[in-house]
Formats: sequence, C-alpha cells, structure tokens
Amino acid sequence: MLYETFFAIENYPTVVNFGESLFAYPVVQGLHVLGLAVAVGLLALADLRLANVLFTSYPARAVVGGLRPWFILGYGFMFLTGVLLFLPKATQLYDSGLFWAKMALIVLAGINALYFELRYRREADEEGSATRRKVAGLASLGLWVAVIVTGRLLAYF
Amino acid sequence: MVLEQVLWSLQDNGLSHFLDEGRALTMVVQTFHILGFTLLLAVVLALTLRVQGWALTALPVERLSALLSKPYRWSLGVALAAGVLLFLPRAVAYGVKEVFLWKLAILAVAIGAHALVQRQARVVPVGAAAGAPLRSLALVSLFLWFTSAAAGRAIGFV
Repeated sequence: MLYETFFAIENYPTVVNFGESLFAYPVVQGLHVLGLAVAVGLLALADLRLANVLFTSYPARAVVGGLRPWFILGYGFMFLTGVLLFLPKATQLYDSGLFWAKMALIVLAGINALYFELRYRREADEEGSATRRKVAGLASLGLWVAVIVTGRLLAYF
Repeated sequence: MVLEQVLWSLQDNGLSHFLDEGRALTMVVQTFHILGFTLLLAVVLALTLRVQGWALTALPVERLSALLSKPYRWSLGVALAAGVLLFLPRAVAYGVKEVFLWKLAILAVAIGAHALVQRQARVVPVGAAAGAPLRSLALVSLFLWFTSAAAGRAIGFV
C-alpha cells in the first residue's frame, strides 16, 4: 500500500521532470545542505548551552529561547526541501534501510525536543534540572549528528 | 603549466592515493566536512542575527562574539582540514575548475570579513546596539559564507 503510494508519487509527471532536471534537483540538494546550518547548526549551539559547554554564564532559557524561532524556521525549510528531494526517489528510498533509520532518528530527536520543552522548559535554569538539561542537550546533539551521518550515507548505499 | 605540475604532485602521492582508495574513509571525511561547516555557518549566522538585534538579545554583542570565537576556530579548522583531504585525490580535476577557484576566493574574503566583524563586535559597549557599519558588514560576511558553501556544493555538479 505504502509502496504503491510512493510509486504513484514518483511517477507524477512534475516529479519526474524535477528528478531529471540537471539544475533544479542539485539546487534543492544544495539548499537542503545549507538549511542544515540554520536548523541543526543553531540547534547545536542551543544544545551546547543545555549541555553546559557553551554560554555557561548565561541562562539556558535566554540562549535556547533566543535561537528557537530561527532553528524552527530552519527546520521548516529543511522539511520542505527534504520532501522535494524525497519525491523523485520515493521507491528507491522505500527499499533503503538507511532512509528509515534516518526517519526514525528524526522522530526520536523530535520526541526528545518535545519532551524537554513540555516538561522542563520552565525550570531549565533551576539547579535540580541540570542533569536533565544536560542529558536532553547531549541526546539532541548525538541524534542530529546521527541524522547527518545517515543522510550522507544515503548518497552511497 | 606550473599549476598543473603542482596539482599533479598534490594528487600523485601516498596520502592522496590512500584517501582515494578508501571509500569508507571518504565518507568519514565528507561527514566531518559537513559537520564542520554546519557548525561554522551556524556560528556566523548566530553572530549576524545578534548584531542585527534579531536573536540572543540577552547576550551582549561583545560577549557573544568572544564566546563564539572558539567554536568558530574549531569548526573552521575541521571544515578546512576535511576539505583539503577531499581535494587532494581530485586535485587535478578540481584545481582547474572555475567554481572551485571562486569558492577559494570567496572563502578567503569571508574569513577576512568575519575577522573584521569580530574586531568591531569587540568594541560594542554592553547594552548598546551595533552600529550600521557593523550590521552591514555582518550581513556581507554571512552572504559570503553561504555563497562559499553553495559554491562548494556546486563543485561536484559544474
């Protein structure tokens, strides 16, 4: 069922033209990679604050809150370009274990972020939350590095 | 002719052959290159956003610039080292590509522009907003960094 849907998407004429384009597809690939800096890069700076590595003399809420609108914007852009890159290769990616691993890692990173936001955001700078904050920051960093690694490996396998 | 000889000597040596033969090694180096420039561009972007007054306004410009200088140096070092390792096995092909030479030129100007931004950011008084010259320079620097990264991406296609 899912495979049939992917097959139909991949063979939609506009998608076929986009996938075969020598200009449009590489440009979107480039934009997706640049979007990494805005999304994952800025989030990494916030994670480094949560992990007590960077900006330690400033409250975590000020650092994470100061970057939040920008990395959310970055993730929106990454999602959009990511979907565009997926469309012409839908069935190929359906058969790739690495693709599903990447999606699973993104979901895990999202759950980690959501859990931290909902449960600990308000108490981010309280002393008792230091360990939780550190774990959330390091987990986020590790998961997004793993997403980048699997994304890179997709080009090879 | 001299350039061609230099490029051949860069490509035709033990290290370049070693790098060219290991597919897994190439993947590892590429990953470090991506991780390096992802953090590098984020550092430049964060400072630019702060200088414009659009983000991290709780941190003074001068302090943020100082705090970001270490991750800037580290990420630039990783991105450059990995970039050189990616270049060596393809030196002859890449070294004559116009887009590659443009990338190097833009990168050099971007490094200079960021150094100027850091220098000017150091003298912004605590609690004061950055002046128009620094705000403009930061935007130019950001544009140069992203253009350099885009040019790097284009090397494989053009």
